[in-house]
This record gives sequence, structure tokens and C-alpha cells, in this order.
Amino acid sequence: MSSPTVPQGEPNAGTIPTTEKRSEISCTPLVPPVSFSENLLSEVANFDCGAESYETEVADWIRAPRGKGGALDDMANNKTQVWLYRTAANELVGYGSLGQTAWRWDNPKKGPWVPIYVIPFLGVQTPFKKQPPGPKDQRYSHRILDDLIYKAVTHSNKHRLLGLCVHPENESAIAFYKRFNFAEYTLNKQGYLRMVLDLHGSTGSAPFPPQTS
Amino acid sequence: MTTRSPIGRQLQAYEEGWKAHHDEAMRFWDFQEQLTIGIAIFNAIANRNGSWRERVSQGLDSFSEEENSEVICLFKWWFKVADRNLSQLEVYEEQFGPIDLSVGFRECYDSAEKTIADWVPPVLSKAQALHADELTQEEAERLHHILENGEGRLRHQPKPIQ
Repeated sequence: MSSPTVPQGEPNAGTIPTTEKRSEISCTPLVPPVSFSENLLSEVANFDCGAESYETEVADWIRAPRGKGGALDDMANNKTQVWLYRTAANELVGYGSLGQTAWRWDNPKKGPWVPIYVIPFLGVQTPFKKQPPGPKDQRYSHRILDDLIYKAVTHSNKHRLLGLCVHPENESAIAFYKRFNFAEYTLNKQGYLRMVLDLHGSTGSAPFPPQTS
Repeated sequence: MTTRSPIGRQLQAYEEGWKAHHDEAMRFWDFQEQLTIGIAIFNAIANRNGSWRERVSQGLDSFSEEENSEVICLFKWWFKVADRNLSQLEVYEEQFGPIDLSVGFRECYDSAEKTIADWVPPVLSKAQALHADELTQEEAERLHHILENGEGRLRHQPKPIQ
């Protein structure tokens, strides 16, 4: 989905203990993300979020130099926004991205193209998956996705849909997105599962999307 | 360079206007008008570049070397004319002080210079989610259903990382 494949918010089941702190990481909180740019390319040169094909494509996208269809190209060509997420101890946990595309879904082939938000890719490096120990909503992957959703609902364009693409075999990622209420939609032409989140939701009595001040 | 496109024709008139004014030592007010036109044409070229890049990136258009060449040529052509205007601008500024539009014009000039220097042709995104999609009737109906029954509705207040 949103990348293609990807998602990567969570690791494959069983690869990492779910309740123990990994000794090589600090488990300190995330600090506000920084916008990715070409001069940060060297910092993601060793980005690694797993060996499965749907994991390597996530790493490849952020590491790609201009001209290869990666993050830097999408930032230049279609205004995709990409952020790096670090801990307070300055460890690179992962990255998130928010872009826009269009679907023609009202009267297909004749109707207007409807702009939607998409998450091209979201990647969490292997040591940080299912970390820190504790409630799931405090995990790095959860915090990053929640931050991206916040960026979408407060974006000035106010599109209704947030979409992404997940490899159908990436069950942990599908489950991860479903926890945020992304609906499983349909397979695209390349066989990736589209998932969608309706941003014109409601949290009950609270105003939503939140007012921007 | 091509004069087939509407932007190309405007650029040609812009260039000829510069020559004519230059020949008659270009009057100050005419020069300001020239800056206005230059900025407008630059914005038209930048919009065309942005729209083309987006379409290629999203898979709505295939990359074409011919179009790539045409778009970068528009920038180079504009830059060549603007370069002369910039020299004239400096002369006028020395003579009359700050000139309206000079900041905007220089921003366009710098942007054109950077665009040409950093030019990388657009490419189809590797992120499938960014590809534009024409849904089938069945998919459209499924999406309507999702939106109507609240299946994929955001139900919590997302929190930013602050």
C-alpha cells in the first residue's frame, strides 16, 4: 500500500520477543520527526527492516538515490512528505511518509479523479519492532502510524480517504493496520492488498477531525 | 527550442520583447512589465513541469524522452532570457533603488537555475500506493459500501509526536 508492500510496522510473528526490552536499544521515547532530504541519504544507507521481499522494498525505497523511483523521487515528483523518526537517544527507529494520489471510483472510467491521501511506506528497523515493551499503543510502530494519521487529518487538503497497499502475505502488517480500523479493500493489479481509512470518522461527541489552531 | 506549445509561443514573445526594448534602451516602466511577464511565464513552466512529473510518477503518463527534453528546454530558454533581464535589473536598481517584483523575479531565477542544475527526469514511483487507480465498477461499489457502513472509519483521535 501505500506502499506497496509494506508495512512494516510490525515484524513477523515470533521473530522478536514481545514483552522484553531489547538490550541494544535505549527504548527512550520518540522525538518529533525530521523531514527527510537528500543530505540525509547516508543516514539511511543501512536501513533494515527485515529480509522478506515486502520488507526489503521498504528499505530500498528510502535508500534509493534520485532516478530510481524511491522516496527522494516521490518527494520531488509528487510532493510526497517523508519523515525520519528517532528516539531521544538519537537512534533511527524508522520512517513514515504521506503522499497523495487519485482514484477514479465514482462512475469509474468516466467520473472525476478523486484525490486521496496515501502512506507510500512506513518502515521500522528490525531492532525497534514490537518495542518498547508495554502497551501496544506505546510501541514505536504505533506511535509513527498515529503521527502519520494525525498529519493526514490535519492536512489542508482535507481528503476523505487514507489508503495504503500491503503485501497479502504480510499478515502482521495487515493486522497492525486493522487495529487502526483500516478496512481491507481489494487487491490492486499487482496483487497488493489495498486498505483504506475513512478520515471523516467520528469519535462520538468529540469534534473530529481536530480543530487546527 | 520548440515554439509549438502555448508556453513556447509566450517565451518567444518574451524574448523578442526583451530584444526590442534592449535595442531602444528599454524604458524603466516597460522593464517592470517585462519582469511581470517573466514571472508569469516561469510559473506556467513550473506548473507544467509539476503536473507532468506527478502524472509520470503516478503512472498516468509514460515517461517520454521527447517531453523530458521539451520541459527542460523551456526552463533553459526562460533562464537565458531572464539572465539578460537580471543584468538590466541590477543596472536599474543602481539607478533607482529597490524595484517592485525584483524579489519575486530573483526567486524565479534561482529556482530555474536550481531546477536545471538538479534536473532528474521523472520516474514511475516504486510505491504502488502512489499510483493512480481506475477502479472497476465492483471496486467502486465496495468502496461506497465501506464508506457508508463505517467499516473503515477512523474512531480515535490520532496523536502527533511532539
